[in-house]
Amino acid sequence: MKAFKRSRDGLLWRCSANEVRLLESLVEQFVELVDPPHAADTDDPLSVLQGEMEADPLDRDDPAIERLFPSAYRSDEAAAEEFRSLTEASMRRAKAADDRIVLADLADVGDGVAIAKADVDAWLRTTNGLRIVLGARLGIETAALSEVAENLPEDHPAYAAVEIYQWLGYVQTAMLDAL
Amino acid sequence: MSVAERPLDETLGQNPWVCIVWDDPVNTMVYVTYVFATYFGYPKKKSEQLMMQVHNEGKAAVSAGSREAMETDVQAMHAYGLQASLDRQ
Repeated sequence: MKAFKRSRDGLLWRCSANEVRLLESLVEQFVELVDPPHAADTDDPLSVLQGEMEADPLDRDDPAIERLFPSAYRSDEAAAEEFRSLTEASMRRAKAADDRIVLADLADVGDGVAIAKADVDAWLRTTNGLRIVLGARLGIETAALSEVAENLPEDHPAYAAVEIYQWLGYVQTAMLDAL
Repeated sequence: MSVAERPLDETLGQNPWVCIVWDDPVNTMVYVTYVFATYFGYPKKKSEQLMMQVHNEGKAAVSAGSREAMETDVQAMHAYGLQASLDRQ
């Protein structure tokens, strides 16, 4: 049985309760990592700006953060910094908005998890973001290291994390196959 | 999010900036292809060719245009979790 079935207005993910709980917990941790600036419930530019200024800066020493928010200019540090200062807050909010879509879908499980067509990209970006974080935690920086990680023995302390990393890849690929 | 299809081959050469996507071991080939097709509106074959170029050569210029347009593309690639940067051609 395929995990993802096309439905009238999107996809239906036929998954176990454990999978729902696992993904929920991963996405909640992801929101904490991305730590979006306070979502002002208003379009008032001043409130938005204030929220951005009060947000805690991202931990740039964390390789996962470097992967999620990479430099836009590899050979021009000043331009990279300017780009970062102009886009980082909205990128953090956008990631959190994707996460909220996924969490809302996970909170409403029927025959499976229903994913509206319009929300598929949010799901793909979020599951991909989780893979990026796990990949960074596992030190998967090259294709060779990815081979090493995927062949860890079962008693290795990182084995569970590798399993989740692979499972996310499987979920993502199954979702893409069903589109 | 998606932009109208831009014929890459025609725009290359006329535009001073390019959006470069770099190879990384985390993003799967099928996902990268999907992102190129979805965001840029490229046909599947072209998206696959660009994905293979990223995979085999370590990077590929996936769009070209003004600096502002390329910053928009790079930001979108980052939102999808791709490693991307912009540079002059």
